[in-house]
Amino acid sequence: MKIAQTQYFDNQWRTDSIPDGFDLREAQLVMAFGDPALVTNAGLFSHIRSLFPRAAIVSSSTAGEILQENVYDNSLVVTAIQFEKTKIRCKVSNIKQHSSSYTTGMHLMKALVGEADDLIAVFIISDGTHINGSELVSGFSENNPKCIPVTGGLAGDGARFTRTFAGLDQVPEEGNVVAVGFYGDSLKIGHGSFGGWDEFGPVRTITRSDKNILYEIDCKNALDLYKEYLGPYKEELPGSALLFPLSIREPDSAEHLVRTILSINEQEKSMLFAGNMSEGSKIRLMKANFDRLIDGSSMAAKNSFNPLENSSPDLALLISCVGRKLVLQERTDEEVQAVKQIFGDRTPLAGFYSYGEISPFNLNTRCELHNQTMTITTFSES
Amino acid sequence: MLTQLYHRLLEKQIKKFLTEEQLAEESTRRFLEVINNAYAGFERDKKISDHAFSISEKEYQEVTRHLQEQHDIQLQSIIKLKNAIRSLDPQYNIHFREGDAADMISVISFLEEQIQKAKELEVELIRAKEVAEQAARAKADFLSVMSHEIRTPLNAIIGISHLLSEDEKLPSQVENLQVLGFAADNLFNLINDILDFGKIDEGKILFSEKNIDIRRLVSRIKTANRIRAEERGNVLKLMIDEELPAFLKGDDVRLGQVLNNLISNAIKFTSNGSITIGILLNKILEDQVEIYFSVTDNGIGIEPGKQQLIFERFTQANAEITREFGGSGLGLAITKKLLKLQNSDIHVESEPGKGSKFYFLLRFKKADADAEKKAIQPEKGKGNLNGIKILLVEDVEFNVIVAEKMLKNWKAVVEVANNGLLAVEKARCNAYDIILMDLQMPTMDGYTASKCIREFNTAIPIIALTASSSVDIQQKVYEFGMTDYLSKPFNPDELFETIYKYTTN
Repeated sequence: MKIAQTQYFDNQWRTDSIPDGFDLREAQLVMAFGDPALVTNAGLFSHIRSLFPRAAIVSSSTAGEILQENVYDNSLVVTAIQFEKTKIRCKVSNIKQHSSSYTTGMHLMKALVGEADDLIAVFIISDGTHINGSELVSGFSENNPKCIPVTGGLAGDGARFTRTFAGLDQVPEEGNVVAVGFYGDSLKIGHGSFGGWDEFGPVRTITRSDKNILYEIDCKNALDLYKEYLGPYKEELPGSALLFPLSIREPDSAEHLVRTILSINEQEKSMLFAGNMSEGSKIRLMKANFDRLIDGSSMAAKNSFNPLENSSPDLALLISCVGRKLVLQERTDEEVQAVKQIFGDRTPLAGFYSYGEISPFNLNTRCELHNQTMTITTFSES
Repeated sequence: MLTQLYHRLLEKQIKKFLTEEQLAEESTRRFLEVINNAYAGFERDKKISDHAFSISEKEYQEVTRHLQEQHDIQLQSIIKLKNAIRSLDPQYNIHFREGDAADMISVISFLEEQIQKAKELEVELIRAKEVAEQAARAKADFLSVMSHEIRTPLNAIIGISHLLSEDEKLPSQVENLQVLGFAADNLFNLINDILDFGKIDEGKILFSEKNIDIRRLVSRIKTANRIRAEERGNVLKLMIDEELPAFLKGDDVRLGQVLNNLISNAIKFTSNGSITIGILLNKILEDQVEIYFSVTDNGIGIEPGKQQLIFERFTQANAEITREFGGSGLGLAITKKLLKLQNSDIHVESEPGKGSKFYFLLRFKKADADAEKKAIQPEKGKGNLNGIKILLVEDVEFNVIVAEKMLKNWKAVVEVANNGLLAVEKARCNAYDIILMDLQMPTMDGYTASKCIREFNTAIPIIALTASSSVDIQQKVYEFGMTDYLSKPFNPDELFETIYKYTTN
């Protein structure tokens, strides 16, 4: 498995040297993560296509790009993969073609499973505003009896939360979900997901909600509660709400998930979250502690590969939450550097800041939609 | 000079540690900028955290205050509960844990103990109730058996007194016979009352529906009571509405029982006065007729306070009445219940010293169109059953003697069979005009015998002789192929009329 990376930054393509033995024409998969304006730029897409004429090109808009140990804004990071034995199949579908996010997920997973028997992993890039991430992930799980790892992320739009784009082999569009299926037993996939947020304050109960729209907590208006907590920063909503994500435990579940606010509706006094907020769920507010967030990234990296099986992965895809970036600000680089430290110099890193991370909690469990985490997927081919 | 404003702490540190030359260097400036951003970041985070934690703190204080309130309420409740338990049973030595007012455990274990006791008590009560019910059943059974046993010899006494009264006799014997007949009738009525009351209480009464001639029924009741009324110097009057239909559908036996009760009471509590029986047509409905019955006397009357009490069983207006006038105290209770079962209610108006009036409304179905035709008026050639061949099936010797004697007085030819099996044989071999069939007999009962006889003779009239006139017995009588029934003890007139009716056609 060979990796080649390049980047469009400051109005120009970097001229990094292509590693020895990497034939651009032989790359099967290309991941392009970039600022919404750049990733939807037809000229830039044509350039990528011309570099990798035979590869499947998967694109996603972001809230920040990760390349090696650095975090960028307003750039386009391109990572090309050349597998030796592993086969890939890519599927794209738009939410408009389906009745719900759930059926979109079901449809894509069924299509990948139908391609060949030896599907071993799925990587998802999805629109991050029109799609309900929780429902999408449930749809994927519906057709996944063997619990093969499903990971990925929801596209971002800086800190604007308005338009997100995803695409396969064309300029990305809103409402798209792209799923990449990996086939064959020579590929080893690892995954890790970790937040590092501290819960604080009393345990509360969601008393009124509709899917991912939250109205009331403990019979009081949720938006008012947030405004009270934000104090002077309430004017910066919804961005500032990322400072206080929610830890949520659904009524019949033992797992705590983290949920982030996507937008607010002042008229309805409601808040739109990146995942479902079922009535009866127990929630607590969460608060960032810089060092704990950075430690969280290390934790995700450690969980994502087994050092006994392979010294370091051939590639690590990092999907981190926009909320972390908004909190860490100047120190955002540090969480990527923490990951680099775990993997060492041999493992190329690529990724982006997203509106939702997809990964199972543990090995062989169904995948979940996360928020506010660093979620890492590692690839090693033997 | 500083070209840009740094964080106040950083500025102090710069002043303290950096020279102007060092500050002028570009690399230092860049470094300071990074540090300044970090300071700003920390400060912003601290501000947000402080604010959030102070809100959180407020919330926790609210939660704590709420919990404290809850705790206080709970504490008060437990103290009240404990005091309530103590005051319920001051003798009971309850040990609640000292020094721990909120302790519910000892309260709960106390309550558990009480619940256990209550459960045991309940089990015992259920057992006691079963025993009581068994005793009540045994009592009812005993009463029923005894009454039947008494009724059989009594039938003979009544029958023979009837026969004797028809014989030639000395004037001194006439009075004795009257007293004998009167005493026997009273005893008979008392036993019937007891049996009836048991049945009414168990809801076992059914009402028959046959065409009845009310005028005739009432005048017979009047006749039956006339002698006793005259004995006490009373005049017995009967007023019947001319509009009253000739025939109605109802239960003549139960109606007679009710009227007899009221009339005999009126006679009992009146001397040298008058008793008026009133029967009025109240209204005619689509398929029913409502009739107003009243029995009015000018006797001793009833105090207002006692007017409802007299309908309770075994209750009379006062204990002296029992001594002076006798009676079981069941009559009015039975009357009330019999009317209640027919959706009617008995009313009383009375003034002590002036008299009483008992009245009720009762609905009857309209009679069949051919009721009048069916009713046979016995000819006045009474007492002549010349040459009629009768098979009398009866096992009790007294009854045989009485019946045989009556029938022979009317010149009928009587043969006797002592049980059902013999009756079947006789009926097969000989020709009879009519069979009188007792129901309860050894070897083969009257029902089975009638059924056997019907297998080879469908024409011969079979008249059941029954000690009970209840409707279920009547139904059974018809089901087994019998033609009609007569209640024991026989009224000689009724016996004659029935035999005459079925043998002269």
